[in-house]
Formats: sequence, C-alpha cells, structure tokens
Amino acid sequence: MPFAIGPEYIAVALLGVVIGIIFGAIPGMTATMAVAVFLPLTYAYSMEMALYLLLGLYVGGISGGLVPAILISIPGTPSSVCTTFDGHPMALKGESERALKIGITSSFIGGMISLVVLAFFTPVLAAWAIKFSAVEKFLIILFALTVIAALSRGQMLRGIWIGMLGVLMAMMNQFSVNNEYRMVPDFLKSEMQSGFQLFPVLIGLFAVSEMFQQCETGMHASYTKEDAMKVENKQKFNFFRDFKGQWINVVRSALLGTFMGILPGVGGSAASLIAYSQAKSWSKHPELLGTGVPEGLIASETSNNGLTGGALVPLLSLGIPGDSTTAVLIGAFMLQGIQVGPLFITNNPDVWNTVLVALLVCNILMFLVMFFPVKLLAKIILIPQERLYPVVLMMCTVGAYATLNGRMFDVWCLLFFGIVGLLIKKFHFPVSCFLIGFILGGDLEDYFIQVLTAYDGSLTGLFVRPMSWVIWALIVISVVYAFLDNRKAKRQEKEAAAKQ
Amino acid sequence: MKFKKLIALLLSASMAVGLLAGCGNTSSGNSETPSGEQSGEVNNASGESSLKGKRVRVVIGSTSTGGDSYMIADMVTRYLGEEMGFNGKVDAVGNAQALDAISKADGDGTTIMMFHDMAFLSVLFGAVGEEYALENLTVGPRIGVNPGGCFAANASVPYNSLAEAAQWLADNPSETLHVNIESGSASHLCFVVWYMWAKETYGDDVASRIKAIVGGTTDEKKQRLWDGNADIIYADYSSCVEFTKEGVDAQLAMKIFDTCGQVADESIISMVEDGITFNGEPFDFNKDFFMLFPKDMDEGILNEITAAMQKVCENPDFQAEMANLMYAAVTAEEADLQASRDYINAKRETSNAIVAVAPGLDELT
Repeated sequence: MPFAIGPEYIAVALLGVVIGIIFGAIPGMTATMAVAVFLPLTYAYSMEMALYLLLGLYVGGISGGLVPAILISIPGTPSSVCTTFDGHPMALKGESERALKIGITSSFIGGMISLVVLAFFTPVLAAWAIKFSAVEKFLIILFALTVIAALSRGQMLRGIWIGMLGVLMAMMNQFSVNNEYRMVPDFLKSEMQSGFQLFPVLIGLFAVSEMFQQCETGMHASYTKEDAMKVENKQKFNFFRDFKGQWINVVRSALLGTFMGILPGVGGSAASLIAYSQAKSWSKHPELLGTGVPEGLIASETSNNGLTGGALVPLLSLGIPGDSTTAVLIGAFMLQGIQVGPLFITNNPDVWNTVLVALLVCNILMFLVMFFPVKLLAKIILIPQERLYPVVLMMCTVGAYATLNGRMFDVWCLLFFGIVGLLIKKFHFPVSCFLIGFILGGDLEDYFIQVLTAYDGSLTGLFVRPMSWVIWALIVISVVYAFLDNRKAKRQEKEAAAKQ
Repeated sequence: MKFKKLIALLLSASMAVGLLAGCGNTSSGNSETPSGEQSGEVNNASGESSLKGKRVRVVIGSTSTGGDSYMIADMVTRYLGEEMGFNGKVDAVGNAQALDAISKADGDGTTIMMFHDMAFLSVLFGAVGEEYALENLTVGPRIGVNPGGCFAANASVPYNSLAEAAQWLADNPSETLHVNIESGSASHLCFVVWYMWAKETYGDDVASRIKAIVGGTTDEKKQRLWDGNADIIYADYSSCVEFTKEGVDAQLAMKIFDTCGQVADESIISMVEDGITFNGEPFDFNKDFFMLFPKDMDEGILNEITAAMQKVCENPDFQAEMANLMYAAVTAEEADLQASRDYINAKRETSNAIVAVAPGLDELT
C-alpha cells in the first residue's frame, strides 16, 4: 500500500492546517477561499505534496469556524452557524475554554469517523449517492428547513415567517431558466445576477447587527467594569464527563455530516442544521439546547467535520465535488493531469492512499494545533468589546469584499444586512431562522424546479419514489415534534407567568 | 469612560470608512499611467513591458476553478506574466461580474478579461445587457481553443448521434428527449441549431418532443443524466471521456457524440460529420477563447500584450500544456490583434444570424 509521507509532507500539512484555521476563524473567509488562494502555489508541487497542503487547508478551514462562533457568536463559516447556539452561551457562562475544547474534540472525532467511511465505503457509497435524485435532495433540504420550527421554540409562527422571508430573499436574482430578474431593481441588475452572496448576509446578520446593538447600548447605557465578561473557567473540560452519554449523538452527527457530504449539492450548512435538530429531537432535555449545553455543540461540530471525508467520496469516485471546497480541489487534480472519476481509485492507487493518509495527518495536526493553545484563544473573550469589535469589523469588511474577489457591492450588503439583522432582533424574531431560510432557499428552489421539469410540471414526482417516502416520514415527525414542543414551551411560559 | 467609548467609536468608524474607501478603488495595479492616457507605442520609452512588475487581475466568465475557462486563463496568465514580467492572478467571478469588472476597469492593462464565445453569446441571447456588447469593449487577441463541446448520453441509449436521436424520435412518436443546456452559452447555440435542423428535417412533431432543461454546471448536468431527468447533456469532452471507458458502472457509463468542433479523438463524430446544418451550411463551432479589455484601452499596452501573446502561442511548452488538457493553442497569426477581431466579429455575426431565427426558451423548455 504505497503512499507519500515524510517530514516535508507533514510540514506542508501543518502550514495548510494553520492557515486554514486562520481563514476559518476570520468571519467571511472560508476553507474554499483558502484552497482557492493556495491552489496556484501547488503548480510547483508534486501531486502528493499538493494534496497535503490543500487537505490541510480544507480541514483547518472547516474547523477554524468554531472559534469565533463560540467566542463572539459570529460563525466563521456557514457550517458553524449551529455552533453559536450552544457554544456562545457556554462562553457567556464562563466556560469558553471548555466549549472550545469540546468543539475541537468533536471536530476531530467527526473528521476521523468520516475518514473511516471514506477509506472503506467509497465505491459503495458513490453508487448509492447517485440514486438520490432531485426529489430526494429537495426533500432533504426541506427536512433541514424544519430545524426552523425546532429553533423557534415558543414562537414558532414568527420563526417560520421570518424563515420564509429568508427563502424569499434568496430568490432575489436572475432566474436561470428564462433569464428574468426577480424582485431586483433595475439599477442593481448587474450586481444581483446571482443574488445576495451568502457571506455578507451571514456576517451582516450575526456580526454587524451585534455591533450596531452594542453601539446603541454603549451610547445610551452606562457601561461599567462589572459588565465586562469574566472567564473564570467555572467548569474545566473533562473528556469522559463531557462526552458521557453523547456517543450516539457523536456517531449520528458524524454520519449525518458524512452522508450530506456524499450527496453533491446539499452542503455543510444543511449537515450541521440537520444534526443539530436531530440532537434536539432525541435529547432527554431538548429545552436545554440553545442555552449552552455540550450536546448541541457536539452535534454541530462533529457533523461539519464529518463532511470533509464525505465530500471527497463523490469527488474521487464520480468526479463530482460534494461541496464548494472540493470543487476547487478538482482544479488541483486536473493541473497534475489526474482525472477524477469512476476509474480514479483503480488507476491511481498511490494517490488514493495518499489522500487517506494526508486526511488522517491533517486531522491529527488540526487537533494538536487547536487544542493546546486554546487557553490563549479563550482570552479573546476578555478583550473589551470596544477594542475587539473594530478589529472584527475590519475583518468582516475584508471578508465581504473578498467574497467575489473584490466587489464593493458585497460590502454594502454587509452593512444592509447588519441593519436587517438589527431590525429582526428589535422586533423579536429569531435571526437564525432568517439565515437558515436564506442559506437553504436557493437549493430548495433549484431542486424543486428540477423535480417539476422531470415530471412535466406535476408535483406527483415528490411522492412516487420509495426513498422519498422515508424522508417525507422524517419531515412529518420533525414538524409534529416541533409543534408539540412549541405547545409545551408555551404552556411552561404560562405556568411560569401564573406562578409569578 | 464616556470619552473612551466615544474614541473607540470614532476609531471604529474611521477604520470602516478607510476600508470602504480602499475597497472602492477599482484599479487593481499600481499603475503610473493616468487613466485614459494613450501611449501610442508598442513599447514604452525604456523599451520594457509597460506591465513589468505590476499586478494584473485576470477575470473570467466562469465561477469554476476546474473548468476550461479557468485552466486556459491560468495557463495564459502564467506564460504571459513570464513574458511581460507581471504578476497575474485569475479571478473566477462569473460572466456578468467579469463583464461588469472589465467594462469599468482602467484601460492600463492591469485588468484583463479572458473568456470564450459566451462573452458575446450571452448578450445576443439577452442573458446580460447590451452595455456589454463587443462595441462597448475592446476585443483583444485570441488565446486558445477548446474544440470539445459535445453532447453525451447514457451508454445504453439506442442512438449514437444527434441525427440518430432525431430519427429515433421520429420512429417513436410517444418518446420525448430532454436535453440539458446552459442559457446564453455555446450549448444553447449548438442546441438550437440541432433543434431547428430536426424541425426542418422531421417536422414540428419531432421538434416539439425535443425539450431543453436549462441551467446547471457540468456536474449538475451529469447528475441529471444519471438520475434519468435528462436524456442528453451538453458538456466538455474532457469532463466526460472518463465515463466512456471500459469498467465504468452501467448507470454512470456514457457515450459522447456530436462535438461542436473537431477533437483529436477520431472515434467521436462531430456535428459537421453528423450532417447537422444551419441554412444548409455545416455547423462547426469551436469554443474560442480571447481577451477583452475596457473600451478606452491604451492601444500601446494592448499591442504589447498582443505581441507577448503571439510569442506565448509559439512556445512549445505552452502548446504541450494546452494539448495535455485537450485544448489547442492558436497560431501567432491567429493571435494577431486585427485577425482576432475579424474572427470574433465574424463568429458573432454567424451566431447572431442563428439567434435571430432561433425559438425562445419558452418554446424550447
């Protein structure tokens, strides 16, 4: 079983992992950007060396997103949106170091589980993945959307309404089937051909709106030292205690992430959303998710790193990337004259083995690089906000500007969605539901149109395939559960009010 | 305390404003030539390349970094950068963004658009506005050819070419063929030529059973083919050839036919060989890649770029690298500025004649 390994490869992988983590940790910079930026550097490398660098960037980029998500409630990548739900509340409780360590360990475990799946089941899974047609993909996206209902516990109607507004805003673009613009004013047509870009929306809603809110508080309220965050490390990280009773959650989330990665065009955001909503559905204390418990954090981080191995399955066995980052990796293979596709593993066993070993090395390096300096990272939360936020705002602006390789429109979108986010919060709507609607809206429409096209405009196509019945059942269970949970939350609220 | 907060707020605001102002600077290089100033000579006074030591942004009309647009632009940028001494970077921004960027760029050569026929086809098909018509830009030298645009179907289908597919529809009146194309692109043009040929040869009934599925990347088109949601897809030869080999799973196995240009693989029939015609003339449509510049492009710098491109075209390493990815380099004569402009304009006129009589997407879908 020949493969490439040696100090020089590990050094390159380490470089990739560190840079990837930095890209992932900066809001608006992603693993995809990191891989795209460093792709030209690999011209001078051998295929094996290039793989170590690019996979390092990929693993680091996906993992780095948890740092700002936990510490400042700004998801570094779209797939770490769910990490903010429990990670940041933990940090607010003075458990930032513990939250980071749980997130990093979960990421490592997720990456390793997906690597095992990649190593042993690639050909089988690739054959299985292509049986998922547009119908199943549409239903999976719909299933992911049901997380909106689960997240807006106690205010379900508001959550669904704002989520649908997000879906609607995702459709403000040029409809590719007939080239007609939808809901786009004339003067914005050239900028809005592909609609609002995800990153300015994401960062605007989470980061800029938060800064606006802080500005308001700072200007109108007294701000004393007592208000400042104190990291006391009330509860230290203990692997056995923190992961006790979580193994089903870990394995389920990692496999969900891997599975979503295997399905081309579904994406990491859907993976972490479904994993989070499943963690909530199966939890003994679903009401605690979102208040700062490890369960939600583990689900989110295990699933988004589970995606890494999964997304390589269709790339290497079908020549079809599982996510946007692996789409860039295709370029690296092509530059080296290697055709990824159904005969890749048979024709290139050395490269295939190197992919597996490189992924293993990169996951281990990611764990080491992130886990041990965590004490330093956790100190970010101690920086006074008036000093931290200008730096964050600068990084957000750079990230937004870099979204489409330097476009001022995206910076204006960042500010616009900052205001939108602020208004959403002011009217007490859940901002995460709007974002989830926006993230999934484009794919939802794409697959819906594909279903309609395939079945000559008839909706019966959504019900005729046996595999789709299973997903329909999951959707119904998820919605019914969310409905009952919402009723329970309202009842609890009423009881609490009556007691007072 | 309030004073400190005010200071922090002011600093944040000034940093944001500084960034916004910096981001708004559209010039991508440290150009010393004022915008619009024409040098009028092939070389500058020192005889060196005007772009030496500068950063050059190359925008392409695709968002993919694995497709032919990126690969060709990247190769040309590297060789051209070596020849002229600039530091180039390819930005895969997509057609509308690339056209927008090049139309607003300074005419100092620090921003170049490299793309193929879709740059003018997207205007003809109405996918982007008339403001991006070739008249409002400067056409530069040709840089390469990808002759491999082709149609692909599952290996098990009973037809082996577009002509046979139309005949199969005529023989099977209950059947319909769904063909996946991309709107405003070479695939759109090649499809409508076949559609009109089928209509002319077999009549309205057969043509009405040829349906276009519009949109999607090559990967999405392949998935539609494997799903059974598309019967035929338009894709690049190099992206499908792997699936035509022995040992590929039956659901994935493909057959390729009707390349729009002429590929080196003689086992694959071209549209010309298949007898597909437009106005009685054989239809041959290579994907031609060329450079675009802003309307007020400095002629002197443009001539320098063209001369350098002609040298690159003669470089055996460049030719070999292009051939390795199944693309063809153009000759130095073909890359000449006037020859390139004549060629691209003639090609646009031919395309315009097709678009003028082609049915709209509402009829085709």
